[in-house]
Amino acid sequence: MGTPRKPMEPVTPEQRAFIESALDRYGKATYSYALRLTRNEADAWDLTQEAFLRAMRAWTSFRPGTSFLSWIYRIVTNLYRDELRRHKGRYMEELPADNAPQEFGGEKPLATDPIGRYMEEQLSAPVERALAQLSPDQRAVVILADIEEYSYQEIAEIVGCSIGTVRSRLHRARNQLRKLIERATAETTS
Amino acid sequence: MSDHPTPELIDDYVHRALAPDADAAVHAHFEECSYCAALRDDERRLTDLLRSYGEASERELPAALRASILDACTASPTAGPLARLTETLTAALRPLIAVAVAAALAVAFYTGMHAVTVRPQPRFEASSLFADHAMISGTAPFSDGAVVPAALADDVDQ
Repeated sequence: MGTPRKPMEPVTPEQRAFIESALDRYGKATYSYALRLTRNEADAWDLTQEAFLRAMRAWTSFRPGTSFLSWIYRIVTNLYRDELRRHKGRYMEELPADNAPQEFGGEKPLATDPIGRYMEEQLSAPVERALAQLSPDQRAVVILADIEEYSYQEIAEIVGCSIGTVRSRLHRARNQLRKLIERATAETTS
Repeated sequence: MSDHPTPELIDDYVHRALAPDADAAVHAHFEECSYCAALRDDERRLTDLLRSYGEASERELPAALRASILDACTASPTAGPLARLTETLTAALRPLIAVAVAAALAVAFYTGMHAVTVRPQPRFEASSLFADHAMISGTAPFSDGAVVPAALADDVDQ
């Protein structure tokens, strides 16, 4: 990710208030989305930071009344895709070699009880492993459709493709996920 | 709907992506077809599983990251008209600069190679030839400065 350049113009108080408010409201969702895409805390950190910097630089182009979250998700998705193109296969190399569930960093939203957390992780581990095996584009569509609950139209705008592509990508991804989850669950129980 | 809906259509139904009339037709089909209703339930279970994973994988924005973003924002340039113009000019000139640098490198390379190939190193010491020549001419019998043997003196005179 790019490092911030030297200041040319001071950030206005309005800009600072805008970005602070955006971080308060959407920082958690953006960081979680970046984590699910990259499956890596360091990359999610960079992706989130760069996305908010881009949002601040282009804040005048944000239209009030539209969804800021969709806008920042679009920035994150584009940055992630650019980064994948630039360092082809970089994220793939970071898959856990032993196929063990990867620990997400960050802070837990709630102070859950240890047993509840253990159960939660046991349930989500096969899903996480299965998601990691999808292509980045398929993973993004599944996350946006099934976790973030966006419509096909909204996903098409975020990802930058047609509704037909979203539909076929989602269908193929879900087919693959079903098989992968079944296999992972069978391996866990056997 | 008399035909069974395709798996894609069931996916769309689960994601509430169908137009109202198509949604109603698929819904009515599920009422009378237990096979398709089972497929729909299967899709719903997958969606539920993904949502559970979504809840489990949700993380708060780390406080250090928030602070880092705000620091970077303060140090970051805004996209003012001058900044935009500078960026545009830089982007436009970048290929020209690259071509000029490549041309300079090519000329430097050619000049260097030329200097190496045009001035070859001598393969042997030429001065030895002169020395040999001087030695031979000093001892050769028919050279201008050579002493003519007495037996041949008459022939020379003639």
